[in-house]
Amino acid sequence: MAIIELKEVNKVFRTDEVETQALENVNIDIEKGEFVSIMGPSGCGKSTLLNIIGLLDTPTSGTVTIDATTAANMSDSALAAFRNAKLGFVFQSFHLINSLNVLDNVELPLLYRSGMSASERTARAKQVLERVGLSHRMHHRPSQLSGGQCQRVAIARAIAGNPEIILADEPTGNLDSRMGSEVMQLLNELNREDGRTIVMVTHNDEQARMTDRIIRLYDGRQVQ
Amino acid sequence: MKQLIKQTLAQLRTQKMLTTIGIIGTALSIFLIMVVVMLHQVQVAPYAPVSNRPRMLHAQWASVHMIENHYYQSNGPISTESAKRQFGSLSTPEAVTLYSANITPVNIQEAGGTPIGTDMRGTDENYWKIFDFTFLNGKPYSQADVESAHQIAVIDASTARKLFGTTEATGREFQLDYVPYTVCGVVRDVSTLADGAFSHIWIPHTTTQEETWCYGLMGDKSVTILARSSDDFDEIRAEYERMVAEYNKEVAETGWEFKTLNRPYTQEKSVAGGGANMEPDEKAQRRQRWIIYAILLIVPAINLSGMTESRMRRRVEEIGVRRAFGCTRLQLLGQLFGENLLITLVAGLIGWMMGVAFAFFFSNFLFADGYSNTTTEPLVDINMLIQPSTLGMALLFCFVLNLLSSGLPAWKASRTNIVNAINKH
Repeated sequence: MAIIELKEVNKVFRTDEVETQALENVNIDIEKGEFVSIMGPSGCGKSTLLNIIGLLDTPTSGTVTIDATTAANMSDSALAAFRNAKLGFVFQSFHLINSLNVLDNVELPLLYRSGMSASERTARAKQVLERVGLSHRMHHRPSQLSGGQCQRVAIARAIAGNPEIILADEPTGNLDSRMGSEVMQLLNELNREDGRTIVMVTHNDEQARMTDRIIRLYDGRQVQ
Repeated sequence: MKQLIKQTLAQLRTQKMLTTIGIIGTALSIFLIMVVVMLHQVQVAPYAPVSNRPRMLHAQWASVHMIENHYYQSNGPISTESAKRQFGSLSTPEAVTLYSANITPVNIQEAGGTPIGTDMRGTDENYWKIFDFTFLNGKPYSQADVESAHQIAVIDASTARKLFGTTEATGREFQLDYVPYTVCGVVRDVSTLADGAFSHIWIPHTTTQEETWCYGLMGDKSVTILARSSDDFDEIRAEYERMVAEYNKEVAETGWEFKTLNRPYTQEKSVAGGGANMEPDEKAQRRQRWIIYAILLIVPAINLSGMTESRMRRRVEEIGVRRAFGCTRLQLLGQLFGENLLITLVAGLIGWMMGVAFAFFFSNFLFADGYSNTTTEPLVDINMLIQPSTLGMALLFCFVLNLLSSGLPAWKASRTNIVNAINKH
């Protein structure tokens, strides 16, 4: 059974003057352990799709089912708990909290997990920082790191809560090719070694070809 | 909590300017409110020698009305005789004291010395049981001293120094309005704010002639009652009402009768103002005070709210990230509110300390009593200003100020759309 299942998903953005169909009748099944990339020109709805899969946004119509749980009608706290347990996010601009050090940034998802002590949180954060090769930077602030290091911290944060699904929105978009390759290698490891399901939005054909499957969007419609 | 403190400190580091302005604004607001609070607190809070204020009832004034025409009335201090008859045999209280309602300006001098103007109060022996004076040496006068009208006096430390150059003055003689008195004890100076306890010299009230009026019903005394517990207040009043009714029968031939006006009053009611002829409305006073507090809180809260919102706007991306990783709206609200509360508490502590310092150094004009007989400037010590109740009020105001200034911005932040927040829309 698919771990991510989208059925007839539509998303319309409405303002007073304009109505924009961001997604039109999108149907996607992603199996557990798959590494899928979403491609398409700018404004075609890739990020909107990723936000809907990540339960950060709701579709105008259609259903989103993640790990056999349908997100519709879930309360704010249920949605938050579900995101915390099942989903990890990696953003193009890293979105690390600059006022916190690396360790505290990585601990962030664990703060919202009940029944976890401070020492357990720290131990887990150190473990994932070790995994991404940044344990020596744990007391640095994001502003003291390179772009590639920031993205590795962001990946560490995404996997700190041990989610089954990682959603990455152009994770290499702000990095040079060498750092981009390092990040892709890390994502591949997480997919192959841990069996995590990864959905990645990218503009990079080469990186997309490294994934199991490519979903292409054009003007909000799924074309592949 | 550790995370909250860590996050708050991080905010202090990253938004130095806004946070500093916020702290200064909050500190000034709390400072202003605390000065207003202290103006009232020094009148009602317990501190030596009025540490028993929570158990005290006062009949500072008495009221008599003409039986046939209540339009004619007399209000003021009660006579010793009336006070003894109405209060002397109350069985419920722990102690009852009667003492001069007003301090009397007198001249004192050591034999052959230069006269010094000062304040004197006549009291009975129970006065020293109800008010907890600190005796530096000697002791108070006794019941026997009062009954025998012994010309002895308790004086305060500054008077002892002025008269004798030392506080070791027990047994020394001086003249009070050219009448010889002997010092039986020296007490620590008392603040003018300790109402009935204040004076520089205390003597047995029997050593001076009382001026009475209205057929001897009225005189120059006030009465303070020390209850065993504040729970006894109603019972004491009921007993007092019965005593007054009895006494009124005895003095009916004068054509006058006492009206109790629900006396004796608690400390708060006693200082609530109004004339001797009317019952103080402490509820109206309380309402008035809370309205002033509310105004002093709301005005800065509106300004601080804008600053808090500005701080929140700078954190919109962080708010989006936190929400994405599983923070609920309620948790976010709690975090933002908690962070602001910590900052407000720090600022409140600064404001409270500023208030105490201001009240201490500027007590002369802040606590000056417009109707006092004394020329003594209000003496304020730190113990009077640092009261648990005042600190409690400061904490309460910090909480309310925080609620008012950060409530709406925090609530709006918690409702921010996650995608918009992450994309900083």
